[in-house]
Amino acid sequence: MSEMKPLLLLVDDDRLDTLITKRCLKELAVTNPVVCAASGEEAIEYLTADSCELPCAILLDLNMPRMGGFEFLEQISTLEQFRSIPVLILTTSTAQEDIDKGHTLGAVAYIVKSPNIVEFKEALKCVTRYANVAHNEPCGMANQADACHPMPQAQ
Amino acid sequence: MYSANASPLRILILEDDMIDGQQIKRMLSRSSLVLDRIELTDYLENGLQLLAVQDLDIILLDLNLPDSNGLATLKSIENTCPSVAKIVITGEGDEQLGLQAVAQGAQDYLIKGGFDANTLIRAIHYSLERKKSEKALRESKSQLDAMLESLGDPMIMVDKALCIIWTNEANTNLFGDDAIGNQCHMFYHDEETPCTSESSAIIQAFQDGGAHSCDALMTDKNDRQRYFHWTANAALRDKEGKPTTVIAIGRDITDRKTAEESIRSAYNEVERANHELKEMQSQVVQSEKLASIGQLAAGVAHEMNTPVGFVSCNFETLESYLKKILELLDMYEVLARCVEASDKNHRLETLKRIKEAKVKMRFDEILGDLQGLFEDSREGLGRVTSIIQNLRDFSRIDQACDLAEYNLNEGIKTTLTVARNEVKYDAEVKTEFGDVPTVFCNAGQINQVFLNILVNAVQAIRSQERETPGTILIRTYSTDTDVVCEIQDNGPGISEDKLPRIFDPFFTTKPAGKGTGLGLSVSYDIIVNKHKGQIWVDSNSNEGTKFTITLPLTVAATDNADAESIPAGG
Ligand SMILES: Nc1ncnc2c1ncn2[C@@H]1O[C@H](COP(=O)(O)OP(=O)(O)OP(=O)(O)O)[C@@H](O)[C@H]1O
Ligand SMILES: [Mg+2]
Repeated sequence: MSEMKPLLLLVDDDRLDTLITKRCLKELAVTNPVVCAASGEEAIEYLTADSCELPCAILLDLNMPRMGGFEFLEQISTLEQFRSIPVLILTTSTAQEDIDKGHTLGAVAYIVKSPNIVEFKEALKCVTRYANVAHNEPCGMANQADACHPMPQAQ
Repeated sequence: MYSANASPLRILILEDDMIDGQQIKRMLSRSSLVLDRIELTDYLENGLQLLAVQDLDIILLDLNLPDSNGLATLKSIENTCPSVAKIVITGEGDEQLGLQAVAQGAQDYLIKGGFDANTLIRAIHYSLERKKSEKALRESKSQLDAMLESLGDPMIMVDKALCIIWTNEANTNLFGDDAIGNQCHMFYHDEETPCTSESSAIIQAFQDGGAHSCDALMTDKNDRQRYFHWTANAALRDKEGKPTTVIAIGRDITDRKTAEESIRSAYNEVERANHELKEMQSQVVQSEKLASIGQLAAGVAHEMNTPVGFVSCNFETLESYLKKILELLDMYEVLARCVEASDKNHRLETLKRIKEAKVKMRFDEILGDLQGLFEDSREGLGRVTSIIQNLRDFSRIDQACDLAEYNLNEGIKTTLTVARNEVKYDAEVKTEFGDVPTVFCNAGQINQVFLNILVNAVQAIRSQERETPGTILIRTYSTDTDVVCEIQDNGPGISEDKLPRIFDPFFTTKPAGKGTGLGLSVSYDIIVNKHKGQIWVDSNSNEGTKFTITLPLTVAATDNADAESIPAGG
C-alpha cells in the first residue's frame, strides 16, 4: 500500500533541513515518497518535465538563493495545471508580512522551521492532512490552512 | 682767534690784593679781548653775591681771600655757578694746589706774579674753550642719562665683583632703590652665590667680552613674578681689553612668555586629547572586535542549533531502537536456554512470541532506519564540524603569531562561508579569483575587513527592497607590488556628500541599533595602519559601490600586536 501513496515535493536549498524534514515526516508516519528540489528553478524544472508524476503537496522553503519561495509560488500560480496542488510554506521567518504574503499567494499552510525538532515535528503535523489526497481531488484548502495556526514560535 | 662772533666777555676778578687785581684788570683792558665788563672784588662773600645776580663768563680766582682759603674757595664758587669758567691764581711755589684746583673744577691756573698779559689772555681763551667742551660733554651726558632714565627697560652696570654700580630709574621702579653696591644675584634673586655662567648673560659677558643674553624669572618689588630677557655687554675694558664693567638691559617678556606658555599648554592639551582619542579608538576597535565576535557567535549559535538538535533527536530515536533491540535480545536469550532445556512446544511458543514482538515493534523498519539514522546524524555532525572549521579559518584562532602567510582567495572563501547566511537571500556572490601570491598578514583581521565590506554591500542591497537579488562581484589579482581585492556591489551606491565620511568612526546611515558606523573605520585601521596597505571606494549613485583593498607583497615589520599604531596623517 505504501508504494501507492502519492508524492510529496520538498523544495529546500539546505541539505540538512531536507533531511530533518524527511525524518520528521517519517516519525509522523507520513510514508509518502519525497522528491527533493534544491531551488525554485529545480522544482519548476521537475514539475514541467514530461514524465513527471505530480505531487499531492509541495513543501516550500522561502529563503533560497536566486529564485526564492515567493517567486516560485508566483510562477506556479500562473500555470493552470499546478494551481490545485496545495503548497505548505516551510520557513525560519516568523515575520507577519511573510505570513500574509504566503496566504495572499495561495499557500495553504505556514510552518515555522523551529530549531527545536519536537516543535518542528508538531508544526509539520498538518502535512498529514494532504499526504493521502491525490492532487486532483478537491478539498477545502483555505480553511485547513487556518487550522495550522497559531504556529509554534521559533526561538 | 677766540671766536670773532662771540659776545663780549663778562669777567670777575676775585682778588684781595688790590694792586694785583688792578694790574690784571689793566692787562685785560689793553688786550685784544672784546669785553663787556670787568668786576673786581676782594671778599668771597662779595663775589658770591655778585655771581648771584649777574651772568658772568669767567672768574679769575685767588684761592686765599680774607674770608675763605684754599680749595674751599673754589668749591664755594663751583657750587654757586658750575657753568662759569674758572682760572685759579695761586701763590708762587703752589703749583700743586693749582693742579688740585684743576682736578676739582677749575679750567686752568696761573702763578701769581708769574704771568704776563699774553699768558693771561691765552689762559682765558683756553679756559673758556675747555669750559665750553666740558659743558657740551656734560650736556650730552645728561642727555644720555635722561635717555637711559626715560628708558622703560631696567638697566644696570655691574663691576667685576658683580656689584651693581649704576641703575636707571626703570630698574629702581621695578626692583627697588637699594641696588647700588649690592651684588646682582643678591639684589635680584636673594642668592648668596652668583648665578652659573650658563644662566647669566652678565657673567658670560665678563668671561669673553662679547654680547650675551639670557631669560630669567624675577620677582619685582611688588612680589610679582616677571620674565626678563637680559642682554649684557662689556661697557668698560682694561688695557688688555678685558671687561671691567658690564652693562645689562632687561626686557620684560612676561606677556610673550605667558603667550608661549599658553600655546605650550594648549599644545599639550591637544597632545593629550590626541592621545586620549587614540586610546579611545583602540578601545573602540577592541569593543568592535568584541561586538562582531558577539554577532558572529549569535549567528553561529543559531546555525548550530538545528544540526545539534537534529542529532540529539536522532540519538533519542536510536536509544529507543536500542531498547527494543535489547528487549528482543532478551527474548532470544530465553530461546537459547529453551533450546537446551525445554520441550519443542515451549520452543515454538517462545519463537512465536519473538515474532509477534518483532511485528509489534516494527523491527524491519527499525533495521532499515538504523543505517539512515546514522547517516543523518553524521550529516548533522558534519555540519557542526564545518561551522567550527569555518570559524577557525575565519578568525585563525589557531594561528600562533600575529603575522602569517595568507592566501587572499582562501581568506575570501572562508569569509563567504561565514557570511553565507547573511548574504544568500539578498545577493548572489560571484568570484573571479586571480593568481595571487601569499602575503604576510594577520588573517583574522583581514577576513574581518572582508566581512565588514561584504556585510555593508548586502545591507545596502537589502535596503533597496528590490524584487530580484543583487550581485556582489569579488575579484582578486596581483600587481608587481600588491595583491588586490575588489568587492563590487550593484546596490544603491553612496552619495557624493557622504563619500568622504564613510571611513570616519561612527559615521553611519543605518538606523539606530543597526549600524555603529565602525565597520569601515576599523577596516581602514587594519588595512592602512596595521598592514600598510590601501583601501578606497568608488561609488556611483546609480551603479553601486566598489571597494578596493591592496596589501603590499612585502610587509614591512609593523607593530601589529596592538592598536597603538599611528594613524596616517597624525
Ligand atoms: N557598499 C555600500 N553601499 C552603500 N553604502 C555603503 C556601502 N558600504 C558602506 N556604506 C555607507 O558607509 C557607512 C559606514 O559604513 P560602516 O561599515 O563604517 O558602518 P555601518 O555599516 O553603518 O555600521 P557597522 O559596520 O558598525 O555595523 C554606512 O552606514 C553606509 O552609509
Ligand atoms: Mg558596516
